Amino acid sequence: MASPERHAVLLACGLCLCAAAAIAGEELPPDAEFLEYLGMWEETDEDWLLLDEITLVENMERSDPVPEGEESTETENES
Amino acid sequence: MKAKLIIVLGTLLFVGAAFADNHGLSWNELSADQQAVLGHFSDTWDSLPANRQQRLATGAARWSAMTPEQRQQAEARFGEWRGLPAERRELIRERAEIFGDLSPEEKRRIRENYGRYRQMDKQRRQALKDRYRRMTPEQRQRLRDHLRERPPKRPRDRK
Repeated sequence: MASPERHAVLLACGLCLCAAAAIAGEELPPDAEFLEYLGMWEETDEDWLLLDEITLVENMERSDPVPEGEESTETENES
Repeated sequence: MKAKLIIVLGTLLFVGAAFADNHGLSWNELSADQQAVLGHFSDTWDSLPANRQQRLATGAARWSAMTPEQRQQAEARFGEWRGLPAERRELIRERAEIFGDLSPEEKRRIRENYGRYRQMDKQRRQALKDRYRRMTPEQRQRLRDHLRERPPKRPRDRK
């Protein structure tokens, strides 16, 4: 077999072996940015969803959800 | 003389505080699971800033404890987080700081409220959001300030 062809075959075999190893192997560890994201919250990464809505959630203690069809009258007397 | 003493004491306090804040984690302090997830950092771990070490170590521990389904969900939330405008992420980080200073009771109460909010059907959640939007900017600001102005009720012992 001519040298360039032999190299091409070897390269193809190597790529196949790498792909097979990746498929069969264990899950790759997550990247650093994702790990930092997971680690930046107090309890869980779901915390940011709470924090995103915190003013709304905080408001809930003073007035539970408005029953359907009822107009809100809250917050006028907040201090 | 008195002034010099004050300067020396002030410097000592400052340096002491800086050392206390910069206490990092050594590689050997990490669990086997954390080390496995953070394997590619093993050579450079000691050169990382302490707060980055802390976030990475916590993230690795959380990742290790997750089920495949939870990992998928966390990855989806991460995608969502990255898609937020920078200002909104900054606002959320600020709120995380404020939230961290609340007492455990206050945190529990807010988490419970959020749990109730999450359990509401879409319509009720929307009704709450609409009501919040109907507030005047002043009312909304007062509500935000309500959180911000709470004095910390415990020493700063967060991670």
